[in-house]
Amino acid sequence: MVQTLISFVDAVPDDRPAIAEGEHRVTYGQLRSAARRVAERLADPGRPRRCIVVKARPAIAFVEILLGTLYSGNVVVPVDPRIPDQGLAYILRKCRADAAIDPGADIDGAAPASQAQAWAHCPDDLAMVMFTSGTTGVPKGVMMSHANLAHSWSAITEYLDLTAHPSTICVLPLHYSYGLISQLLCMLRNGGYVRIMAGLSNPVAFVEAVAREEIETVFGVPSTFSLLARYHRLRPFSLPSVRLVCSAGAAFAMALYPAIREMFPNAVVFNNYGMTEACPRISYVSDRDSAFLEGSCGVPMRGVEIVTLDPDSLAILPNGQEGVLGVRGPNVMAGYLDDDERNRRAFQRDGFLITGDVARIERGHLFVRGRLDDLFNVGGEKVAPLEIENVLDEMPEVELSAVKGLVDGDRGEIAAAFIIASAPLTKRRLDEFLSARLAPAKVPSAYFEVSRLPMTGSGKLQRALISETADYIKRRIY
Amino acid sequence: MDQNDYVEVVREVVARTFECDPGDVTADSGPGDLPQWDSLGHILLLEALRDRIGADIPVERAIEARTVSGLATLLAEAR
Repeated sequence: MVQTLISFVDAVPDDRPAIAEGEHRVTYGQLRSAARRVAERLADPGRPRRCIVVKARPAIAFVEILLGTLYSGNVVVPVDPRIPDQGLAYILRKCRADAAIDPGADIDGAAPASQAQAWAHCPDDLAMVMFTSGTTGVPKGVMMSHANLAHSWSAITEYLDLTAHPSTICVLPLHYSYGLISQLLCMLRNGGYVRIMAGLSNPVAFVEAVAREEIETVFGVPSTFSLLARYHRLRPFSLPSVRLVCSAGAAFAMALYPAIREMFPNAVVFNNYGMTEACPRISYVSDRDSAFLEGSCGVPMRGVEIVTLDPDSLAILPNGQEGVLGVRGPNVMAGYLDDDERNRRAFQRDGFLITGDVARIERGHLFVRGRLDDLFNVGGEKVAPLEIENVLDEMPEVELSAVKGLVDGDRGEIAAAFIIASAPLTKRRLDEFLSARLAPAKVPSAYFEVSRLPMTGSGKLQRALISETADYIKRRIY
Repeated sequence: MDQNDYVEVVREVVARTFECDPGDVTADSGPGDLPQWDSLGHILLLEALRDRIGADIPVERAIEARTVSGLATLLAEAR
């Protein structure tokens, strides 16, 4: 019998603080009462397991609707509150829903989505569908069962020792699996306290809230820590109450590690790896492990198996051999909603989810090189952009970098680097630095200084969109 | 320097920080008006302003300043 989120939430004492948003605070008792009122409006015994699409605003009202949907036996589909109409229309069509509930506008108006039809092909214990577009393409609805989520929360709680640190501040978007599942709902599952902030637009308020409420855990993506480190440089701060710092969502920015240590002197720092399809955690490493500084994504969390696969045959490769990462475990999704074609390609024959990331496993530790789609070929040698970016990012003059293969008449492809610089750079300086650290084929042939890089709403680099003719190109570096 | 002079300084630094034409920046411009002027961009701007005027600006208030002219007022107070 799977212990669902609501069974955990139901067990928390009424008067314990649950969520705060600005001056508005609710206890677990108040949260449950509000969620049950939502559930009453959504309940329709003749049509169970409808997809209820909800705009995931960073607000208590959103969490009440999410829990209310689960209380009513329906499936919650959190979406980006700023989603364009066309994208929302696609998701509503896939979910057979007429409208999305907007917690900002129709908190007690669950009526629009009640027109949704039951989706006949959902797994019996489906709890949530999260649409992910990754870095390219059409959104895919990741079907997450109660069992998937229960396992994720249990294993995440265990390796982060979250029950010992039951408070957090949530600045990540809540339509994003990391912010919603790994942080906010995991904390509620453990009866903890969540302060919600709508992003990090005001780092002063963030620092004040963490200090005032003695918050113990901070979760972010590399750009979260980059912003905090910048603010720390302007106004140094130290938050001794924080015992746990989690980074995920993109490769850990090692250059920020010294600043993270200064800002959170008592914290253990975790680099985590995952994807929405794994609901969402796969592996983790803490800075107590020497592999952390080697850039490893760590070891798989409890119950998760990882292998590397031959990119063509999808056969399992011997340990240590680089290939496409495959993941199997009780947290891995059953498939994508209403997408037979993608579901046929998502898993290999032994049931491993094909992640599309290129990786190797050494001493039980995972090392991710980048996306299979991102690899390019320079004079016969396969080059992973992430490897070059990691070296570029070590340069003090480099704020952020992205590498991409560009078509070249002579060599098929060449490596080109797109750099946000914090100090003047020359090609000679770049060549010298990279040549000392990378194989010749991996040293970029062209460097461009840029004012920004194309990113997704959740801060992931959109490498496919990078172009040497885009408006953010400031100059070619000679 | 009066308030107008400080507005000009802030406009110039905004244009340089966000790589745009100073003509596109007005006294009422603020975060969100330029693609790069997001929360991280705002911190970068405060760093650039501090370097430009060589004075310690009141960061806590500057983070909440929503316009060029609001930032100019804080700079004037800081000098």
